[in-house]
Amino acid sequence: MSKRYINILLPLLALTVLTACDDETSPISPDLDPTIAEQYYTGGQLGTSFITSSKAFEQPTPAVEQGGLFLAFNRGEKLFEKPFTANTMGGEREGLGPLYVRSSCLHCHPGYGHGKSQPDGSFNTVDVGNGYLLVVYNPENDAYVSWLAGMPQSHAVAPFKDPLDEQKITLRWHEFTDQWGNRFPDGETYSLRYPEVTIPREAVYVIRQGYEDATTTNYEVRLESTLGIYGTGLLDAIPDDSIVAQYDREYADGLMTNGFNFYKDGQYVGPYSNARQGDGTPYVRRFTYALSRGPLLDAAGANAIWNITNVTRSDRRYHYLDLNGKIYATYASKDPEVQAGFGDYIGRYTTAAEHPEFFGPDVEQNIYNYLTSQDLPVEMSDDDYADLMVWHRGLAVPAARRIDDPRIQHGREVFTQIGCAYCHRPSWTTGDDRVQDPNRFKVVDTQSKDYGRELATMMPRYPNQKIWPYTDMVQHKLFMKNDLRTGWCRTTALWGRGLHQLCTGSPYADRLHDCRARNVIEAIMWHATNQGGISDAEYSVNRFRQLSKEDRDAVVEFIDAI
Amino acid sequence: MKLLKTLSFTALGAVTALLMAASMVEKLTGTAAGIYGSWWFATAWALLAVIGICYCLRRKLQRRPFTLLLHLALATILLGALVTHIWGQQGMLHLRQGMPVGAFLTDEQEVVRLPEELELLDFEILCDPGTTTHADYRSTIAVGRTADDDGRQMVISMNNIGRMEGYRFYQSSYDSDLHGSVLAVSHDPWGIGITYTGYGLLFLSMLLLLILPGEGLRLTLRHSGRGQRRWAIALGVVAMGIALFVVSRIYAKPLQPVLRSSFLGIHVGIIVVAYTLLAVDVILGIAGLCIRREERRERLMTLSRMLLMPALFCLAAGIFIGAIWANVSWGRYWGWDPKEVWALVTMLVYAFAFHGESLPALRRPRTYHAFMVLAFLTVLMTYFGVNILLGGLHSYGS
Repeated sequence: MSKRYINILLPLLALTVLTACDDETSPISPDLDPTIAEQYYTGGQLGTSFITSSKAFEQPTPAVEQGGLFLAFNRGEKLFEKPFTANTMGGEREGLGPLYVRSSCLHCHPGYGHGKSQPDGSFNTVDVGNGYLLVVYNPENDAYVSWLAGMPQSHAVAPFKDPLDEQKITLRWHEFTDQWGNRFPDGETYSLRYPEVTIPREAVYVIRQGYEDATTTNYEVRLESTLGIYGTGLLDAIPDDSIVAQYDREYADGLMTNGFNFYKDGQYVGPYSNARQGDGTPYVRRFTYALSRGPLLDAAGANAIWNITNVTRSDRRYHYLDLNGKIYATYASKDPEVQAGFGDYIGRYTTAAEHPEFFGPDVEQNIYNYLTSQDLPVEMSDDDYADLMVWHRGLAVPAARRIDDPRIQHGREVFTQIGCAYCHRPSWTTGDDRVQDPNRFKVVDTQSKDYGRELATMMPRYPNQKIWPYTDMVQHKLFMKNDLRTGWCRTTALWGRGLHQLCTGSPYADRLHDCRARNVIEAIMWHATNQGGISDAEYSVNRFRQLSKEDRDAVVEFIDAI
Repeated sequence: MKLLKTLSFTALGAVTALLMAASMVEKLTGTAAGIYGSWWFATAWALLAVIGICYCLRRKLQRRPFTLLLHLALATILLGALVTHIWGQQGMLHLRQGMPVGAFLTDEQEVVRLPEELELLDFEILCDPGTTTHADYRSTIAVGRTADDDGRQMVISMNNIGRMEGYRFYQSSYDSDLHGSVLAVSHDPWGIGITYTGYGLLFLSMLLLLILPGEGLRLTLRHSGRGQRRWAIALGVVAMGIALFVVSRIYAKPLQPVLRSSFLGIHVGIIVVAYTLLAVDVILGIAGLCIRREERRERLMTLSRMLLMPALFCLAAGIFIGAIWANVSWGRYWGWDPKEVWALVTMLVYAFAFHGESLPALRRPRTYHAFMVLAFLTVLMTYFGVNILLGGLHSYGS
C-alpha cells in the first residue's frame, strides 16, 4: 500500500509543480481584441521589448537586431555604463575633464530611466542615481547665469578647482498644502512636497576668486531630473509635420489658456537649428523639458556625452566650461594653485610639438589658451560616438503591463474622459523615419571602416510604427511652487514610468521634473496647484478630484501599466 | 539494560523538551540566547546519539537491520551537524559592481580568503512576464578576472548556488540601487557530505521498512483485518487529495522568489500528507477513547498504527527534503528556524509511539490513543502555532 502511496504521490506532485512553473506564456493572448493588443506594443512592433526585469529600460529594439546593429549597440552600452577617466590618464574611455558634471552617464540615468529623488542634505553626485541637474538662472529674465554652464560643471580634474563646491549646496524638502487642503471630496488625503536647493555664493569658484556681475547676487536655483532614455529613438521618428499638426489642433481648440511656446498666431516659430556643426536647417523641437533640442542625433544625449564629461570628439574639439565661455578660464588661469600644477597636467595631456600655445613662457596665458582652445585632441573616436548613438536610438520601450485587465482598461477610459489624454496624447504613428541629424555628423576618422559615412545612415530605424508614448510633444504650464525655469514643460512621455522603482530601486515613483511626486496621485495633484497662474491641467485635475476612489485608483493603475 | 533504556528515552524526552523551551526562549530574547549554537546543546544531542545507539546494539537491533539502519542514519545526520558546527564556515559577501573582492567575513567575524577574486558584473531582478512581481534575483559574477583574463562567469540566483572549490555562494540580498549584491557564503564540504549520507540512509531505510515483506509496515499489516486495510488505503488516498489541494492553493498566487522551486510542492505536499494522516489518527484516537468495547478500541489502534508509520516517515522525509532545499536556497541545511524546530519536535514526539516494544504502556490501546491525541498538539503548534507565536522564515503567509 505504501509503495503505491509513493508511486502515486510523487508523480502527481511533480506534475503540479511543472504545470505551476510554466512561465513561457506570452502576456498577450491571441484571442485579445486587436485594439487592446496593440496597446501592449508601446514602441510599436519595431521598438518594444517584452522583457520585464530590473533591466526593462536597457533592452535593444527589434530594429537593432533586424538591422544587424547588435554589436554596435553593445559597444555603445559600455560607453554609457562605464565611468570615464581623467583626460590625463590614458587608456579606455579617457577624456574626463578638465571640468565635468558626472563621471558616467549611468550616474544620472539609473537603470537608464529617470533620475531618483535625493534625500535632504548636501548635494551628492558621486553615487549613482542622482539625476538632478542644477538649473541656475536669473529670475528677472529666466536666462541661465553666464558664470556657470547650462548644465553646471561641479567637478574638476586637478589642478583645476571644482566650479561648484557640492558640499556647500543643500537640498531641502518642504511640505505643501494645496487649495483643497490635500484632500479629495470623499475625504481621502494625500501629501505633497517640493524641493528647495540653495547654492550659497561661496560655493561658486569664480565668485570666490572675485568674479561679480548683476546675477551673482541675484540668482535662483531649480532642479531638473534626467528623463528616461528608452524610446527616444521612436519619438525621433515622429514626423515634424505631425508635431506641428498637434500644435495646430491644440491652438484651434483654444483650450490651453496659457498659450504655446514656439508657436504664435497659428504658426510654428523658433525651430531648432545648429549652424555651428551643421548647416542651420530648421527642425521641430522635440526633446528636453525646455524643448531645447530637435532631432535625437543632436539632442540631449549627443550633447551630454560631450558636455557632461567634457570628452571631446571630432565635431566638438573644445570644452564646455561656462555659458560665457571665458569666465572660468580667466579666473582659473589667474589662480596660483592651478598655475603651480598646470605644467605637470598639460605635460600628461599633450605635447609642446602639437600645442605650443599651451607651453609658452606665460603660464597664465597657457592655461587660458588651453581652456578656451577650439582644436583640442579628439578623445572619443568617431566609431565610439557612432556606437553610442546606435545604442541611444536603439533602446526599446518596455511593453505595457496587464493592459487588457478590465480595471486597467476602465482606468484608460476615465483617463480619456477627464481629459488627461488631451496632453498625454496616447499614440502617434511614425513616418518614414529618414533619420535627421542637425549636426551633419560624418565619420572623418580615416582609420574607421565607416570613413566618410554619415551618422544618420548608421542608425536603427522605426518607419510607420504605431507607438504609445502618452505625450503631445508640446509644452504647457502647470504653475507649481518652485516651478521649472520659464514654467514651460514639455508633456512627459508616460510610457514605462510605472517600472521606475523596479529598474532603479528607488523608494519612490519619482514623478515630475524634479522627482517631487512620490506616487502617481501626488503627480496628478501637482498638475493644478495654480501657484501664480491657472494650470493648463486645471480642468482635468478638477474632474479627477470628483471621481470615486475606485475610478481614481483605476486611473493610477492604468498610468503605472503603460 | 533497564538503565540504558530509561536513559535513552529520558534523553529523547529531555532533548524534545529542550527544543520546545529553546524555541520560546529564542523568541523572547530575539534569538540572542544562542542556545542552538552552545556547547551544552551540542552535548545534549551527542549524549542522545551515543546512548541511543548503545541501547540499539544492546537490544540486538542488528537482527532487524533496516530498523538499525534507520537509527544509524539519524546518528549520521547528527554527526554531520557536529562536523558542520566545528569545521563549517558561514558568512556574508557584499559585492559592488566594479569592485573585486577576495575574502569574506564569517558569522564569527573572521576574515577568510577566497581561492579566487569575485567581481559583480551585473545584478538583475527578474519579474513574472508582464508584471512587476519579483520572480528571481540574479547576480552575474566574474571569477578570477585579471587585467588580461576575463576569468569565468558564475551566475547565482535564487535556488541556484554558485560553486568555487568547496565554497558555495547563495543569492541572499541586494543593494537598493541594484548595483550591489549580497551573497551568503558557505564552506562545509565534509559536514554536508556526512549529513547528506545520513539523509540518504534515512530515506533508504524508511523506504525499505515500508515496502519489504516482514518489515515495519508489512508486519503491522499482517496483524490487521481486510476491512482495516481497505480503510487505511481509503484514508491514504484522502490524505494525498488534501495534499494536492493544499499544494495547488500555494501555486494559485505569485510566490516570492525563494519559494519558486520544485522543492516547494514536494516539501509541502509530503508534510501535508503526514499531517493529514496524523489528524486521522487523532480522530481514531478520540473514537478509541470514547468507545467502550476493548476489542474495537484495539482494532482502531491497529488501523491507527497502519497510518502512523507512513505518516511519520512522510514527516521525516518532508523535513529532510526541506533541509536539502534550505541548503540549496539559504546556504545551510538546518537553521533552527521555529518551524524547523517544531517539526523536529513533532517527529521526536511521535517517535515514542513507535517504541511500543520498549515502552509497554504504549501497547495498551487506551494509553496509545490518549498519546496520539496529545501528540497531535505538536502538529497544531507546528502548523499554526509557530506562525502565530514564533514567526521565523516559514511565516510566508502572515
